[in-house]
Amino acid sequence: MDEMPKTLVELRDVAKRYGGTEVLHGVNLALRDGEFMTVLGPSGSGKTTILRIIGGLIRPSGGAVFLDGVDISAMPINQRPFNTVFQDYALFPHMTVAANVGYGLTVRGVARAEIRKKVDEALHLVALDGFGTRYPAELSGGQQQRVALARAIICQPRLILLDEPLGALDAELRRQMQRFLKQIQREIRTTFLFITHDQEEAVTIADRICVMNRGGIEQIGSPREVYYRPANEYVARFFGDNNLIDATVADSGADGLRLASASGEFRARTSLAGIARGQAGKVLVRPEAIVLGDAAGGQNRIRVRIEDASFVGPVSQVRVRAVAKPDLALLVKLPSRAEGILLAPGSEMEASWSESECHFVPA
Amino acid sequence: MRSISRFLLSAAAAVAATAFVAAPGFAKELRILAWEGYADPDWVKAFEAECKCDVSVVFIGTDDEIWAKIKGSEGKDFDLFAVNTAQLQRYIDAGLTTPYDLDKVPNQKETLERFRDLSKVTGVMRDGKVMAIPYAFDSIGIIYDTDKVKEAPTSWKVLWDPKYAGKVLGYDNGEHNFTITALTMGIADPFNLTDDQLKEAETKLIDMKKNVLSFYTTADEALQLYQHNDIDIIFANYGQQQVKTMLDAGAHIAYVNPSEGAPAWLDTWAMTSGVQDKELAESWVNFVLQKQIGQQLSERTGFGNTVVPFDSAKPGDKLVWLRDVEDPTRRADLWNEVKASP
Amino acid sequence: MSLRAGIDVAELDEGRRARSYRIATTALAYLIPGVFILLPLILFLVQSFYYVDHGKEVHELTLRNYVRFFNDAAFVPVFLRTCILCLAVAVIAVAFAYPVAYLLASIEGRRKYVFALAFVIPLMMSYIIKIYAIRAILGSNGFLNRILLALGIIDAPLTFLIFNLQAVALTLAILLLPFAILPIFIALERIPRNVLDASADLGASAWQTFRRVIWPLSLQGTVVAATFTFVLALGDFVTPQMVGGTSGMTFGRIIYSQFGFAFNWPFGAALSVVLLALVLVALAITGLVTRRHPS
Ligand SMILES: Nc1ncnc2c1ncn2[C@@H]1O[C@H](COP(=O)(O)OP(=O)(O)OP(=O)(O)O)[C@@H](O)[C@H]1O
Ligand SMILES: [Mg+2]
Repeated sequence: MDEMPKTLVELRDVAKRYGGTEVLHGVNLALRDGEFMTVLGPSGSGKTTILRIIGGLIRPSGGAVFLDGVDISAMPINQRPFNTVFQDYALFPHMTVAANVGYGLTVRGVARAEIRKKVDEALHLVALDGFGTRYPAELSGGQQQRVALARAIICQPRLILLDEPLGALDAELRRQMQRFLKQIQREIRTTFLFITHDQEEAVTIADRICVMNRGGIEQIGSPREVYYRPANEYVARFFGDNNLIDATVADSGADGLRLASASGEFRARTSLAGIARGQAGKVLVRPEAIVLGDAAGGQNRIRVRIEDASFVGPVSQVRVRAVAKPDLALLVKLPSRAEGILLAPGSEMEASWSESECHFVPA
Repeated sequence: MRSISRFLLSAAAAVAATAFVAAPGFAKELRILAWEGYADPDWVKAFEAECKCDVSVVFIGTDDEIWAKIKGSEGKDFDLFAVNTAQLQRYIDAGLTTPYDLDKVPNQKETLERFRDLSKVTGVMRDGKVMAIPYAFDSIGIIYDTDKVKEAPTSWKVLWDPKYAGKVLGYDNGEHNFTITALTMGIADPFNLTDDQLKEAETKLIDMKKNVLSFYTTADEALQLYQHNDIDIIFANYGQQQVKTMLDAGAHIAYVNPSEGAPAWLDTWAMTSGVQDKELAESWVNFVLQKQIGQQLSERTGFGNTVVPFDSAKPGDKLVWLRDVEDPTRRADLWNEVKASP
Repeated sequence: MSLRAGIDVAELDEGRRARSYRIATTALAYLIPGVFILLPLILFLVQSFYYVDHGKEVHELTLRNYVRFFNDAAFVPVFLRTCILCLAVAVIAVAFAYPVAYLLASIEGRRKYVFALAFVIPLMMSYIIKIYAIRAILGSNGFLNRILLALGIIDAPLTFLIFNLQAVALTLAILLLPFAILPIFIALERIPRNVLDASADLGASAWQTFRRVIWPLSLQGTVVAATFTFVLALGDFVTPQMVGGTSGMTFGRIIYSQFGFAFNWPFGAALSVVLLALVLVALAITGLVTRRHPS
């Protein structure tokens, strides 16, 4: 039943140069119609540049942008059926909220009564009924944010581009707005391309995540995929405190991988194609996948000594070190219990994890 | 304006002057207050040698400065001072002057016709006594372009001649404009106009505006206007100074004193009430009334001297010595009305 | 214990010193304009109620100067003519300044400030020389006429270029151009790039963006520019005399003559007070117009 969704916008080999420096190189990205994609990456990695190229604010130096399979690289910004929500909202300070929201319709020459109706609808959608006569300066940050959103959706664009729209909001409001955005996206069934450099935000909100680094894309996949099946060490490190152990592929078969490391052999699974014997990389184990205790029974086992244990709210973080090979340190996260488990520093026990929780990442 | 250019020069001259102040030696001393150019170092030196005396010269920049210095010391700080005939009156009124003994100034008999009989020179005599002796002068006349105006104008009326519509440069000052208009109207005393006369002159001046391209305020400005526009006739408020400025710039122009009379300022030597050595002061005046010094004075300053004929005035020209006018404020107001009229 | 107390005293002291410092600077901030601006104005106002009789100032309060201004046939028409002239100057200057400021503001990066200064500073210098230059260009023997004659475009020199009120308006507009460019430049420069991007992003054409975003957001600066030029033109008494020919009589000129020639300072002061009142009205109008948009 899983019909492949239609591609809305596609970037093919898009590059961008400023003077001598290439800030984007060979970017290929296909946005599916109706999806919520987040673009995640450190500062300066080229997120905004991609967004502006799609929006038409800047021209790519190489490659092309397609909409419904048609090259739109040369289409002027004001003709593209996309609208942007800018990071600092970029509301028109001299216009009322209603005029701001209705701007896209006004410049298209839509009749006034029609505009008023649609503005009311849009304001209702973003829960700002009755705010139409205010000026942007008279609104809170979150309210301005919602005006910017209403202004972007009123023309029913094919794609809404959001450049770190929640960056300026405090944590609580931010979470609220994340839910809100997701809800609106479902309601209006429009494609969202959402930039953030907050992993948690990217993971909670997105259908798919595009991880960027230094002007290139490292991985595109569902939150679960990039989290549990990172395509490379960069992505693996990007998402939190993964345990990474140097290893080489000893054997690769249909039932999984055998990996050889200085601390012994591990069994792992991979979704990546073309992994050959002798390939070097990392064994990846998420801290919450490791079970401590002699009774535990995963395929991968190591004898470890407890270094320290700390209580961090719902989880406890435990640092352990391999007994046989003291330079191998692992981080383990356990659900906290009121009584606590007896994890006295210095005590030794087994650490284990199952084959399905163990992942190989090529170097 | 005349005083401003003098003022600018006086800085350099003051340096030269101190040299003479510093030269000590003789018991007799003469203290002179004058405009720059009226007591040049070479004349001073020659006079000192001849009279065996020390001469100190202080240069001034404005009329008010003379008044401050003379009145301030009640005439005690100086023996002689240069002053124009209009200003002179207040010094005489205040008793700050000493009459001359003309026998002690024999060269005065050799001066030009118009200066010889001092009773005919307005303002220099009071109660039959000679209060000042004329020394330098210049007139306010007409400059015309010799290429374009073939026949030299003879009358102020040329300013109203429709032939020169839009080709006349006027001067932006009410006092003198009313004076020359009054002269044109045949009024004997152009400095004391009745209300009716002022009104009539105002109408005439409004009429003159039709001919005037623009009003200027400085000689340099007049030259620039002349260079960039089609100008035939200029109301030459600055007389020879203006002629010289224009000739130096290569303009083809000439100067006339109109037959109705040209207003003219006349600088004189007056002795203070505190004169120490009256005979020495009189011999200075006699000394500078030599033909050679007169010639040099004119060549160096451009002003007319009272001994040898020069460019400011031909012997037959009618000059009207400037006096204080009846009401400068009133003339300024009327002049504003003239300029404001559409 | 004693150490803590010591610190507290020091902090208290600090606070007191800071407060007295603040009071002192505030007092200075009011005192300096008070002494250098307000005091002369008050003296002027007082003097405008004196009068001159036979060249002597009479220190007796009277309204006669004001009565004279309103009754004399010469003054009110000149006053009105001057107002119209200065309005024209403001309009012309802003019309020239806006495109220049727009081009300057649209230069990328920090260079624009350098360009703006490089453009504006020379315009502010040597006022008289500029008037002389303008006269040298526009006179009937001037460069422009000579070029047009040489090119055979005209047979006789054009004489309407200078020595009339239009020439005064044009010259003043050119002289005051920098004062019009700067406020407009600053207003344009303050418009965030993002807001313009947003307009284009929402489908506006370049012209729509100008009309609906740039123009309204630069309106304040433009009004300030117009006020600047209007007020400065009102006070000018040199330009009308130098390029206005026989019709170059403006109100500023009349005031000037009261001080320079007529030696009627009280009347000059009264006329200045009238001019000042006009300036205040102009500023009030500017204040009203610019306060309409909160931003
Ligand atoms: N106009 C420009 N000229 C030169 N370099 C630029 C320009 N705009 C962006 N860059 C460079 O391109 C690179 C990518 O910039 P971009 O704005 O896309 O980063 P980003 O991922 O959005 O970063 P951030 O999270 O900080 O917003 C950066 O190194 C930046 O310095
Ligand atoms: Mg960015």
